[in-house]
Amino acid sequence: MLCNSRYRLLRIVAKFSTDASNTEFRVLDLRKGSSENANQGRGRFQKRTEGGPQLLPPRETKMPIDQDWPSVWPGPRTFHPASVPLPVRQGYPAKDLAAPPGKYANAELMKIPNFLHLTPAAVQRHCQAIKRFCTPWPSELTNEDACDKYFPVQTTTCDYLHSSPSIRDPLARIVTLQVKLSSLPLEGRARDKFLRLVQERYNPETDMVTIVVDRCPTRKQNLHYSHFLLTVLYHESMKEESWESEKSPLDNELFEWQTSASRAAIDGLAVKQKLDPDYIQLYSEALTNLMNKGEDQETLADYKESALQLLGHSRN
Amino acid sequence: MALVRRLLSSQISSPFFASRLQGTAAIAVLPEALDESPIDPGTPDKLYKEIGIELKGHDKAVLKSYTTVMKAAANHLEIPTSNIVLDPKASKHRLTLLRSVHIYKKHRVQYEMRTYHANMSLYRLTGSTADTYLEYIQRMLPEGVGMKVSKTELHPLPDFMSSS
Repeated sequence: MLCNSRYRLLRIVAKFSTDASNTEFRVLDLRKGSSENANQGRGRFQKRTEGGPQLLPPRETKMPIDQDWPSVWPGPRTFHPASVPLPVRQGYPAKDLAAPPGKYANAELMKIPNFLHLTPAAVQRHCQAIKRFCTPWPSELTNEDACDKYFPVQTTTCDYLHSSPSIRDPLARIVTLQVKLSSLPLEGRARDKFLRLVQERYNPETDMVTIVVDRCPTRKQNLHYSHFLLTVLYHESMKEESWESEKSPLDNELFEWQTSASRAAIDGLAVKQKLDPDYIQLYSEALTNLMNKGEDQETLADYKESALQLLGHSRN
Repeated sequence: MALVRRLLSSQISSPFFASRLQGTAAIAVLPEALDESPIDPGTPDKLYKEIGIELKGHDKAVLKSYTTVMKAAANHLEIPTSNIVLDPKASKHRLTLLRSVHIYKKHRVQYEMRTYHANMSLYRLTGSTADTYLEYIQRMLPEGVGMKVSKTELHPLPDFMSSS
């Protein structure tokens, strides 16, 4: 009974809402159902007629072809077959060689999120409206080198957007600070001390120091802490402690020809016999390579060749 | 109606009433009001060198449509972007359970969750552009899609370092 009364109400609404200019007059037949019942003599229960009760015709049949679609479908909404004037089909056909089910009463089309509110025209209209909140990138910073020169410090943070009961994500607090070592005003001893302090956080291939901070519970605290760390690292490496003068050549990270025992030996030899300065230069480079890069076939062969040349025993 | 229009137009000309307007008239005067608002010189805009956007979803078609919308919006707002990388293969998380409740250990059923990934990068955005663009695309995010936004912000060296 409830359904029947609702259909009747819809029929009344249909009568008043249809535009009389382009459709024929729709007759209000309030007693249709009950008269059919009386004729059949089946009491309250009535077999459903094919196609159900006569309702409003679908809206799509009245849409003009040049309508403004973004105002028909302005926001995200579940697919509605009567509002979309497209012959969409979706799903598996009931029999072989049959067409997929049409758009009416098709749950497959309602499950998937649709983009009917994000047509190219709608996106363009939205962007025109929000463009006045955008500002251009400074023209002086279009060059990558200029960015590195004036803004050498980079911080990376991540925002997460997903459907979960909480809008917070524990990973959002992590801050990664990156700075190019060559952009810091560090030289010689201070640079060496800085590298010893940052340890494996320095990548010699890219010349970048990367500090990942996830110690504090909020992003702002981590951001402040990362800047604090950079400040402290800088000041600590600029400081020269009394014990730093005790550093011996063995503590060097890299072999240095100028202060090495090998150079002293060559100088001593040069007093006794005449040595070619070009060969001394070659020998020093070969030895530095051997010590710094490690022993392999190439560096060892270079070292042998330069030593023989220096002592005048070269084969060629 | 004509009387109302005349009243509104007389009010727009008066700066005192401009802020008390309501409805359509207030929207009409908004752009001018924004342009004339004083900008605080003490807070410089943020500079983002790169913003990486990573999307995850269970439906490849939805991801593809959404990345198209993202790219179109970036083009309209004149933001330089990378190409969209949509991985055609899903990463699968499989669960193997007993088909029966607790016996018949030989007969099992396997469920899997497929997650597709899409990536895009934006380059050289100011803070206000980034906020505008990200808010737009995040409001338009379809159901069942997750987004990770990694922002790389540029900072100058601290004063005590740059002066020495």
